[in-house]
Amino acid sequence: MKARESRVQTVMHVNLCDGGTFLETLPEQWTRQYIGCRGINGRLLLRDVKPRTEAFGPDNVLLFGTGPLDGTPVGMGRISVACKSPRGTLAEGSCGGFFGPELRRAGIDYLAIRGVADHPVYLFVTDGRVEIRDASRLWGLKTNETDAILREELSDPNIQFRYIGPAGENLVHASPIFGNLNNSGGRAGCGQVMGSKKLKAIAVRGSQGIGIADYDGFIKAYKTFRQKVDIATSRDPWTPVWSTYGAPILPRLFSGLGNLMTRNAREMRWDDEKTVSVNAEIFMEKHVTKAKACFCCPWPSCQKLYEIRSGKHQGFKGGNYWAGQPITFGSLIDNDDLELILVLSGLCNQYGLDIFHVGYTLAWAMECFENGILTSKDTDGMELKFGCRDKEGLVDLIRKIALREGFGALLALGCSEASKIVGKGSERFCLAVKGQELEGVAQRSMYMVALGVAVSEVGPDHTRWYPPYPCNPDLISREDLDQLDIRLDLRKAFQGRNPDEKGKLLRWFTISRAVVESLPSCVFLIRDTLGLDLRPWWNLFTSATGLNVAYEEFVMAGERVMNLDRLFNVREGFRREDDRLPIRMMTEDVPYFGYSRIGPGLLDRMLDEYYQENGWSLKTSIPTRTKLNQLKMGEIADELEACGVEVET
Amino acid sequence: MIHLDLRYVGHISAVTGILKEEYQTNASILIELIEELERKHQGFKGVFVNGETGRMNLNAMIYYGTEGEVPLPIIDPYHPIQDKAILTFW
Amino acid sequence: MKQIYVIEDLCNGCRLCQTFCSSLVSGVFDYDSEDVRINVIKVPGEERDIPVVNCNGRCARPIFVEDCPTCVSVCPTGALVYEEQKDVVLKRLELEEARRCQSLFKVVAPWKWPFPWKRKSVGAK
Repeated sequence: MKARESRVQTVMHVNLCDGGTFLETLPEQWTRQYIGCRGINGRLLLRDVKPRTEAFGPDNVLLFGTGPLDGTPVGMGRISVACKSPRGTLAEGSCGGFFGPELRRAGIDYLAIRGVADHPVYLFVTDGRVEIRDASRLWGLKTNETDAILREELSDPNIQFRYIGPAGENLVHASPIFGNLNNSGGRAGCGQVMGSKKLKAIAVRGSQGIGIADYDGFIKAYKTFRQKVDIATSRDPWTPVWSTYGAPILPRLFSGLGNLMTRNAREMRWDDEKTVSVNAEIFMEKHVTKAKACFCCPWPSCQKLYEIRSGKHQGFKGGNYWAGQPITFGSLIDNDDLELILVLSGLCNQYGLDIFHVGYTLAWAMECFENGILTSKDTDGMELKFGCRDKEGLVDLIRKIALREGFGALLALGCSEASKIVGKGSERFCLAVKGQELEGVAQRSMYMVALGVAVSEVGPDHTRWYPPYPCNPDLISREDLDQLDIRLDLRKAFQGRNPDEKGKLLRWFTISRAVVESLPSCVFLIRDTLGLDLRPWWNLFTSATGLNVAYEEFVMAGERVMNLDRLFNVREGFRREDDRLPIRMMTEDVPYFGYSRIGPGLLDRMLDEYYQENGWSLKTSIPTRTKLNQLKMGEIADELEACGVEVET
Repeated sequence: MIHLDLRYVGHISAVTGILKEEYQTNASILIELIEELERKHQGFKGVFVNGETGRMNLNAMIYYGTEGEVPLPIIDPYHPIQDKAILTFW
Repeated sequence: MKQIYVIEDLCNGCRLCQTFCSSLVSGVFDYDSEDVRINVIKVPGEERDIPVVNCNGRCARPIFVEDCPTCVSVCPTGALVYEEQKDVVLKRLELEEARRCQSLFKVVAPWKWPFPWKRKSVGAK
């Protein structure tokens, strides 16, 4: 049996203009400093994409990154997809399924794709080799159709794919990259960039096993990890429910807490009856057909397949109903028809669309319609109101958005660009930051979330600091916290609307999640104390790679990755002023619970703490030279200055 | 007698067989309410209270709120229960 | 003699069983290795995941639970059971009874579920 090890990682560079490929071996130092996956993707982007590169041009690099733990039972099949976003920021997202392990089995840790093909192509990747094949017959197909055809043609059931749908091909805003039918990632623009390169899909089949430097040590570390995430032993209240009923359990909790985005977040609570009708319990009862999981997931059924058993859409099949969909196609647009939600989300997956883009842009359009800013002349005759009477019109709109037809063409731009075109005050209904729509996490009730949404370099991305709450403070002692050098007043940090300690808390969450995403592993599995105490992750990393890395060094990798994200944006001209919240959250109070608006003064206070703790300029948010030197990234400070960026001491 | 709005989420709904109920009780603190609910829904207490120590389980999640107030997670078995309170059990 | 049996519709396709099995002797995680004694066949469209066992139940290295094959103990859903032949049917009946009561057991086996759940039975006990 062939086996490969994990200390040293390789990048397969592919140029779609001339078909050239070459395999680069990264220095072992990079594994020590940035670990892998999201971390090394970040480093590669800084090195290989110059500032102000055109996102849809040949010089933008689309990266698919695995990491040292991919292919082991802790990697969960995660990959990072990354590139420069058409919005100008970093675009980076995490994605699950089975693609990552297979790429590593082919002896390739990263795919770096540049250039633009002159006709639709797909990549066929085998051990150390990439073939560029014609994909003209696949262009225009939905993701599920692409999956089925490629699977049949290539016949080996263990070939794994990533692909885009028609939305990505048509450069529709926020299109992600899909795989294993219902897994997706990179909604910050990766699917659009893939479409701009005329790259329809990537197929991979490897033949090498993943060697482990210290197998017994790895098993010992794995048992500790399983103890914290297994239903029977986890001391985290979310474990039993998240691992079976799954993420759509949240609307009932959110609504009760005033955290549920309702009618374009004009309100934050929805009718009890409506909330129950879209929640996980009813979904499980009526529509779930099967448990699904990513590679080696220790949970029974984070993912699911579903089927609609009766009614107009009988026979419709889909998968992965998360927390996003009951919000974006439920409370956000005031639709309590679960079957309609399932059809809309399933179609988004098939057409390759981002549900947050579609949901928030629909909600924006509905509020515009209610205010007379859009009329049925603009909406192809649809009465576009909250409550969604015209269900079939909505279903058809998904296709129109992906294909940029009719009213879909405006919506395909996303609410930020669309409101610039429509004007008439529609900007105040646009819930986006840095041009990217929000997700489902409430800001006016949880200040750490507000800060996280404002600062995330890719646009709102809660997974960069998910789960957004510390574990029960009783689970970890003061001595442990001190030993781990986490200087946080946990109880204060846990108080939702106390602005103090939020910058520090967000910093810690961002660093620890960056570590986990660079291994890689799945942030859903940050349970029990795994978000505060990274030692179990460190043990898994050192035993798998055989690298003798000190714990402090391991954690520092997370801080480096956090800085890489900020550095990319800074090079493109983003500054403190871009770390804002949507107008609604900054100017409107929630009508209950005393959740008031987050005014500029409050946001600035939290930004100050966050930048201060990070060693970033309070004026610009640019990492200081002192900080970059401390992180042994001093040469990047030099590169920044060479680009004309002012780096403070 | 006080009136409560009880909600059961996720796997707790598998214990009770229902998603929510309007409940009348003379219980004045949390542990008394849990004891009563155990009589109605067998197994309920064991999810939230450690049988050996009598303490609340660390991974128990119970949100308590009254109308107009933000619900908060509670872990104290002696937490007072007021009329018209809303309790969500996870 | 206990053997490893499969309850197909509980399999979520994670391949933990196959991945661990491949590593027990070699220390290498290779789900496709010739040494592997369990193989999860994936049906196109992700709609079926079918573990096929090619093992006599005497595990090369029971890592997690003594005297229990590693694949069975590492399976998150309970799709793999290690039982005497006469008891396997009882396991299947236990699952079906549980499913009649709670939809939760579409995705996890009652023997993997540590919490109580309400039985719906016709006729008083």
